[in-house]
Amino acid sequence: MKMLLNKKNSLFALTIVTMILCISIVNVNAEVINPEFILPRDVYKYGGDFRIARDTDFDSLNPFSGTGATWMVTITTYEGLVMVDPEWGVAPWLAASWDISPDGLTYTFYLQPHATWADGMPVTAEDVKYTFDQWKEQQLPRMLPYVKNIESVTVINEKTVAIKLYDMDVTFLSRHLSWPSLMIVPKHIWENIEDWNTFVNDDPETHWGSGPFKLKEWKKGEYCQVEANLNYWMGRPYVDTITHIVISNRDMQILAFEKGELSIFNGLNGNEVPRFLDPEKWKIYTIEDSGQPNWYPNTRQRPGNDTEFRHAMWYMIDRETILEAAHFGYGKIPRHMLATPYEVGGWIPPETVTEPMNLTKAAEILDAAGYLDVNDDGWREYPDGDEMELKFSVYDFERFIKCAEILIDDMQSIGINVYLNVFPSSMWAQVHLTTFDFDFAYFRYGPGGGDPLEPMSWSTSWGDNWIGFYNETFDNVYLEASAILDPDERRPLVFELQRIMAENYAYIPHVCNIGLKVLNTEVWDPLPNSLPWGPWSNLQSWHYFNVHLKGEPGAAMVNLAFEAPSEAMQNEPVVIKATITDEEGNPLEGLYIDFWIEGFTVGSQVSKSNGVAEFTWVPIEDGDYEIYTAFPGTGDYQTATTDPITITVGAEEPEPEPEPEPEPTQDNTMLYLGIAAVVIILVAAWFFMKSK
Amino acid sequence: MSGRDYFIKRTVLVVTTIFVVIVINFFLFRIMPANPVDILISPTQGQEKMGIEIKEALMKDLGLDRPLYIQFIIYLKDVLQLNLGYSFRAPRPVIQIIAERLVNTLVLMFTGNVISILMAVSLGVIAAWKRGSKTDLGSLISALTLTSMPMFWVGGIMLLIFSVRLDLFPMFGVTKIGYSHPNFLSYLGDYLHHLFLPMITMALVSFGGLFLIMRNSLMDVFSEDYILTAKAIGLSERTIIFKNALQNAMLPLVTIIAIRIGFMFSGSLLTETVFSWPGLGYTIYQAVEWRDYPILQGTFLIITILVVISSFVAELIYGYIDPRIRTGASSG
Repeated sequence: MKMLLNKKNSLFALTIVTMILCISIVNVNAEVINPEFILPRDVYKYGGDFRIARDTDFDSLNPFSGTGATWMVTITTYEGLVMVDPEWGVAPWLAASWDISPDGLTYTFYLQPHATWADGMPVTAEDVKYTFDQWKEQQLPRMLPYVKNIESVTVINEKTVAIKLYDMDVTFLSRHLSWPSLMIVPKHIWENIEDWNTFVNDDPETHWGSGPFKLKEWKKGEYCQVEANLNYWMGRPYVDTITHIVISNRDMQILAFEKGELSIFNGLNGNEVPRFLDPEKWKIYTIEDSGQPNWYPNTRQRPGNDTEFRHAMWYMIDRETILEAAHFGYGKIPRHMLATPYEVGGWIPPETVTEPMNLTKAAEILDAAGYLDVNDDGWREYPDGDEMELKFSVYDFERFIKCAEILIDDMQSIGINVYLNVFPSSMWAQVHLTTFDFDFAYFRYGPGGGDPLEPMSWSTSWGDNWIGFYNETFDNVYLEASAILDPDERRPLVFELQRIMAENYAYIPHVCNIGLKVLNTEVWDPLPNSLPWGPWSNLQSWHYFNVHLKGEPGAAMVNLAFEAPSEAMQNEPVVIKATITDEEGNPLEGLYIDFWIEGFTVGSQVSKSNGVAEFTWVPIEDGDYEIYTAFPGTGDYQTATTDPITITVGAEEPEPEPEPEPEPTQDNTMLYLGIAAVVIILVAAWFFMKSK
Repeated sequence: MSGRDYFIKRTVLVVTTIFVVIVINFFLFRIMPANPVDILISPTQGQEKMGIEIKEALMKDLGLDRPLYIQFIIYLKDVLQLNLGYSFRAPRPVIQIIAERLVNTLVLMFTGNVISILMAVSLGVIAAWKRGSKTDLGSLISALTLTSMPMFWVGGIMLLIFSVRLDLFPMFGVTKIGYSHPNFLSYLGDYLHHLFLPMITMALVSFGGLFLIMRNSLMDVFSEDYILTAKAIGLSERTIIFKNALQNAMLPLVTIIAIRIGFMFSGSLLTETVFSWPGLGYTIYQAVEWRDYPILQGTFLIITILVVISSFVAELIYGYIDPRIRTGASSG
């Protein structure tokens, strides 16, 4: 009885544990197919070539070995698992949804059911596994920090893949947001490539991703053009082509934009805004920068390693002047240690820690800490009497130099002997990561959004802690925070981390920049909602998907009809024919017809001279499918949509079992003949003998 | 010195020069501040993720973690096999990148300089012959003005007037974007249309100096006794200028042109940047930005070879124009 009870109890406990486990699996997102920030596909005008200037040539079109300009192309042709949303959170992309296991080690991604590669093949879990595995196997330098924590990638089924980590990493998803290399590639193309490091990926016949565009032409040194992927799983984009033109000189870029050769100009300065105020011709977009420029002391050496000196620095910064003189008014004064966009996600503590400039207070703190002008030369000395001559290093970016000059003026006014050291931007990593040759630095760090723990890892003693800030409490709280999966539970600790940084004056928050872009609205429609045209690559990918020509779809009516069989069989091609004619019944040639199945565009085809556009669909599973066709409209013709019809797809008949081969029938003719011959011979012999 | 000895001596000099350049090429870029990996991971170049880990992996990947002498031996071996390696930034063979761009640069340099020389010679002759006239004064002022103008400024003004305001010429590139040329003539027409503004800009900027040399050289020649004699015996103006004066006045011009070939590449760099002309100059500019050693080594090697060969050819021409150069040693 006791045994039975124990067994019963054990079973009961096991059931309860299993139920708890099942319930506690964190389902982060319900199945979302089309993110809400994607515009509907049939209400704006299609067509046009959207042109953007790039100041450097593309090094390759391989997302894993390229750099800045390359990613601007590859983010439109390839896609990652998740993207950043307008509220700086994580949104679905190739992954329609995902689960995170309670221990935070396993991420299960459910892929978009209708996502296909540009050649029509479905995007599968095998592709995701292959891509992740190859990042590790190919030893791609840029991917190593990302993949080192991945233990295994397992295919659950055709559209589900699980990624297991060695250690819990709450920033695992956020990393995708700022890492344009993390793109999934088709296994059936890339498995033929031996070395991913040297693969240039410039052949339009094989540069096939799952993105809304595909490569049309890369003319080395001149331009790179991508064209609309008619089979894109979220519907084809509005623009026909995007052309990235190499114009290295910024002044020439502005000239080309003003002339109308470019559709958009990125990187407008605040003082250039008055040139583009005509609302008939231009629209200026402001973008709150995710990265926050900060004033950093080098805490490896004095005086940066003295908390009291850093305390004095807290009051030396004149943000109002910097905002006006260096940012021309396009900036935001932060309240706390993190960049202002983190306000949206509720990641910044409620209190304000940044304070207005107060040089008198700064001087008092310095006096009290022993930084006095002992030898009356007009400059303060270290408390031990040593001369103090400090280096303020910034790279050759105009705005940074201006900010540093303002800071230096204020510091000098209270007797700090500091001079400006401007170095080429190419030496940034050497100065900040190798030689640490600075007393003060001015730099913008650029987190990708999502979880703020990622940028905060740089201030831990084991992170890429280039300013040398070390605080044991900070490290401990960071470890504690990084073990909590639920963002709401983690939030108080993230506040705590910021407070520790502020109390120790780890760095001095500066002014957050607001970037400016200007769109040519004579040709292009300003986007109806204010999309954050952010600095991150995948933000720009939405923008490319949504941008459209100015004007309404045309006024002339069209007649659209289509025919398809009402019944079909699984894995057998179904031909759907759409016919488009004008009001008088004349066939219209060269118009795109979209084919919709179960609410998704599965392909687009161009109508031929007889007005017919033909699409072949192969149903993979049996069931009823609602099918219709749509014409998205052009500058001349209105949109049109057909009524849906339902196709019933029957299950594939099982292969009939092969009938057993009939046993080969033995040919007995010779036997009978032989017997007959023997009988005849015997009879003849008998007669012969008898006759004798 | 016989013509054969002269040729051999020059050839040995050319080969030695190229070898020295190969050696300098390797060490020059490695003593520049910052290494290519620093730039590849720099947040200023679109790389948001900085990190020591990525840096170390890239150093290994590019072979920069090896001792310098090993890198040099590998480089020397590769160059002798005409293998200029792979670009650090673009995973493509350097020779392929150079080949794509070299043609554009040579076309721009050649056409720009030919026009400039033709203008300098013809206007120089007229100005020198009509010394003190309004034509002379006008040419002189134009030449001095053009010489003193920075290339990028002239290019910008040309673009502003002829491309932005008058819309006569394109602003960038070598061909129309996305245009499929039905035949070679169509392509050539498009190419020349794009070439016109950078070519004229280059010609105008280099015209001034050449004009002044030509004019002064001709004026010296015109004051020689043999010109006076030619005039005295009643030779026509045309004969005196083209048969007697011009050949002698060309000597300093040829010398200057030979010396300037190296500078022409730097001139093309600025022109290419202003007009977004995808040539070697622009490639060098980008490679310096990115510390792309293989590209820099490759382009400098190719440019050196071109300059050395051009100088060699110029010296042969010089020897042809003035036999005293060729036989100088033996007669001296």
